[in-house]
Amino acid sequence: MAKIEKAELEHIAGLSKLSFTDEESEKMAEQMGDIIALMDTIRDFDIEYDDTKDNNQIPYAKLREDRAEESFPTEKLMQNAVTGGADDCYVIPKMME
Amino acid sequence: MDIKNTTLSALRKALDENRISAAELCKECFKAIEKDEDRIGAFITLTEEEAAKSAEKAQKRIDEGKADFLTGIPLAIKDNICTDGIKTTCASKMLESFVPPYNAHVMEKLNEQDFVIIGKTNMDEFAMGGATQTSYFKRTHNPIDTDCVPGGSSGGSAAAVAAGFVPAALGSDTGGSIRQPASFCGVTGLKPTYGRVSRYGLVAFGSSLDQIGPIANSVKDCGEILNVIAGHDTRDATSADLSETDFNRNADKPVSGLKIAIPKEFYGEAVDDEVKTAVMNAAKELEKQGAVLVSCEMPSLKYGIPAYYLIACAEAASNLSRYDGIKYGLRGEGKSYREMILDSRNKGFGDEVKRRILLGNYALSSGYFDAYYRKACALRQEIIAEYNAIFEKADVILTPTAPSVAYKIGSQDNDPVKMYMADILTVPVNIAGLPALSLPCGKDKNGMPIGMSITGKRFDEVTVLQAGSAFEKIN
Repeated sequence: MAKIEKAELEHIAGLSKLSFTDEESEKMAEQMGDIIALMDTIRDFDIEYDDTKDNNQIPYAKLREDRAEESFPTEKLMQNAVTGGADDCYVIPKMME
Repeated sequence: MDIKNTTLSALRKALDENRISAAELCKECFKAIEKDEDRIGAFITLTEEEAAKSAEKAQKRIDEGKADFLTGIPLAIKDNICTDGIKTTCASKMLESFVPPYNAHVMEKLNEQDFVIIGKTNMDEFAMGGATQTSYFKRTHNPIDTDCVPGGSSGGSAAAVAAGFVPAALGSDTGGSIRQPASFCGVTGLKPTYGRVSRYGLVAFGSSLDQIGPIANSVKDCGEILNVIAGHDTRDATSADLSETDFNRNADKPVSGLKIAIPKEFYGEAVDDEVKTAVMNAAKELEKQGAVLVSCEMPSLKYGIPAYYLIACAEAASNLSRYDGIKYGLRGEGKSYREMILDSRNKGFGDEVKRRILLGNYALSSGYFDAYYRKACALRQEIIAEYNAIFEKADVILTPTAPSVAYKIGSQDNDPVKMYMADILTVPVNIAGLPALSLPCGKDKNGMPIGMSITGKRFDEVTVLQAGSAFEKIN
């Protein structure tokens, strides 16, 4: 069973804004090792990405006109803030000491 | 009324002829749900109050003779489609209490017709899974055999239709999430062309792959719902500015002369023999109707899984970085800003979501980007080129929807690689942004439904529905 290194897991967990206990890390390192082994099969495929090709072939719409539109009501947007907000602001822990 | 065996057209007629009222139809749905929901688990939220109000509004419109096709028709909505004032959880603890302040574009379209919302359906968390077993709230069971999975990630929507709770539902499809559960539950599901239906208000998973579509009891029902939800929307830059008034316009036309491609790689060792036999029998039936079967190849299929998972997870890692517990979603604890965000995400996301975020960030990280993400994008170009080559000599492609029928609940838990491999036949369609329809084509020895997929050219849902409808009539 493939397994990724603990340091590598910690690195990508940091990028992902996630953290794991030692027990969770053990299991996750094994599973990620298996998943990355599956992804590694793509390395056999001998082809380079062509930047000049359009991947999506979507008939993209023209950009919409740049004009001011009514925003969502603040009260409605704040209804999902767990802290309830204060003075129409979101309350978060201190970012700087 | 037997909702399971009634088409949307028949319901429309019954409502217009006052043989049933919108309120009575709505009650029929909740009666069926009350009887069987405990053993199926199709819904996260039931919207009885909203449904009663909508039914009343719809009835007025019917009485005035101003009904549109979906006026008074009850539908279920996958719980990753934003519904103003109604919880939209994505089956995640992260969004357990989230109430969207706006409607998705598809909801606006449905509301314009005064449809009746029955509830929000269960799904894999953030649509990441193929069995509707990674939901934070519950596992959904297959109505055909409740020991089996309903497929996923739109398993709640497919199960709700298969159980006769609703005549149709909306799902979303990033790598097969409409077609595979439709196949497992013995119903019909359509993944429209990427860009056909606006993604505004669909909670993002893989933005270059996601597409909303219908799950229903018949091919034409899927076309009817697509008629309502398709269309240009300036709030989704990838929404195509194309007009199409009737996707069912060829649904009653014969298929004589229609060229149907059979790519051999889709009938390989990974696919169960009973599934292959059922789909090939369907091909022969269509041939008897005058269709022409064309042999073809798709050599890149074997790389479809890594290409799909690398692209989808890279996009998911970015899309899900918004969940930090600040403006909405689960708020964790912590003395610092960073601790609070980590705690929110650690507690809010399930294991499968975490694995996919990790994989996405791995593929995008310095030193790996070219080897994984860029290579996956190169494969995407190759898969598109292979589809284009097939469509030079064929009108549609016929394949099995999934390598197997629905499997037992719990049999693939904790084996993410096995779970990913099961998507092999559906993901190429999303990679290439094509339309594809899954419809039943038989049953295995245990009576479990087998689904076949008809894939079409970009924005050619009309021919896909034509081929599907032709088979449905003879099946």
